Amino acid sequence: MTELTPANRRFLAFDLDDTEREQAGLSGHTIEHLSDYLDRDRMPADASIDDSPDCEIALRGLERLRRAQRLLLERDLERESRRDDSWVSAILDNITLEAHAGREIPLAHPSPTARLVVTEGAVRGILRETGDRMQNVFVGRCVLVGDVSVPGAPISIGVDVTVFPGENIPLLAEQLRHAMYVALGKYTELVVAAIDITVSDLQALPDAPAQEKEH
Amino acid sequence: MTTVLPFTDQLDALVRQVPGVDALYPAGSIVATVLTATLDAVAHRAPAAPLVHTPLVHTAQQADGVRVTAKIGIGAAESSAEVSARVHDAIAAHLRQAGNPPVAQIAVIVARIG
Repeated sequence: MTELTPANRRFLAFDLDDTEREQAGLSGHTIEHLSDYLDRDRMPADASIDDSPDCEIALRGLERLRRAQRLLLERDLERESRRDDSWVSAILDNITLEAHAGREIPLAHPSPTARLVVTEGAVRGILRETGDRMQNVFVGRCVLVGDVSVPGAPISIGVDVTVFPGENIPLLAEQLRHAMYVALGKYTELVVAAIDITVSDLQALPDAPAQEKEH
Repeated sequence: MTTVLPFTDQLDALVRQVPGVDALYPAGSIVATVLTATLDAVAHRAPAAPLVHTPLVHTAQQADGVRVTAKIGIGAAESSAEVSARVHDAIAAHLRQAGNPPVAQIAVIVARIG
């Protein structure tokens, strides 16, 4: 399903039941700390960041976002200065929320003493990366809907994306859905009933000012 | 009761060597880590280096047997189920060789992919 929703819609995309992890945040760090850490090229090394998978997922999301911003800048440097960059702050918010480990998604093993799981944060991270790898699209939100902790229970995935100029949106949504199904099949044993993709933001390049058009 | 078991210092290296594992994270309580990071941030001080090496793979001897937890990152080319099963099987084999203690649980958490 592809649908349009208000661009300013806000999301909470982490497990609200898990109070301890929610309070833990990004292992005690903020997205600003992590952004500064990237600015310093991860120097001096901070074990409390480097040893945290949640921080690593958020750092990778930040790096991809920065690459996307640079790409846009290179495409149209002059127009970029007039661009509304509110989409960036919305994506930053979601990177912060979605890097949390969240719920545990079981993986089967024959031993009765085995407990193998992949975290919800890891799955959201790889789904986000799958989308961000595609051209002219950036994942703004990714949420797993349903009881992912019960093997075999059907769940759905909700994804919101920002689309940049030049894309056939239905085709893009289908390609993204297919890529995400492949990723989910590779990294989880979830029964995915649906992947709902919402194009929540269309980043058209702004029109040139009237006075420029006259010349 | 929780005690440090004699074979725990070998588990980190064992898990790191499992094909497909590209990171090993602390599997113990995150509360201490968060508190330390928060206090460092409040005090505007650089994070302190640990004085004593703490194993990343968490082990505990409890009434029902040994509980081992490993938290790993895997490469994008790998399958979560396959790598976590390999880690589980490697730990199980190691425990068998180290006196075959009763095992209550071997937990493997895939915390980061790619």
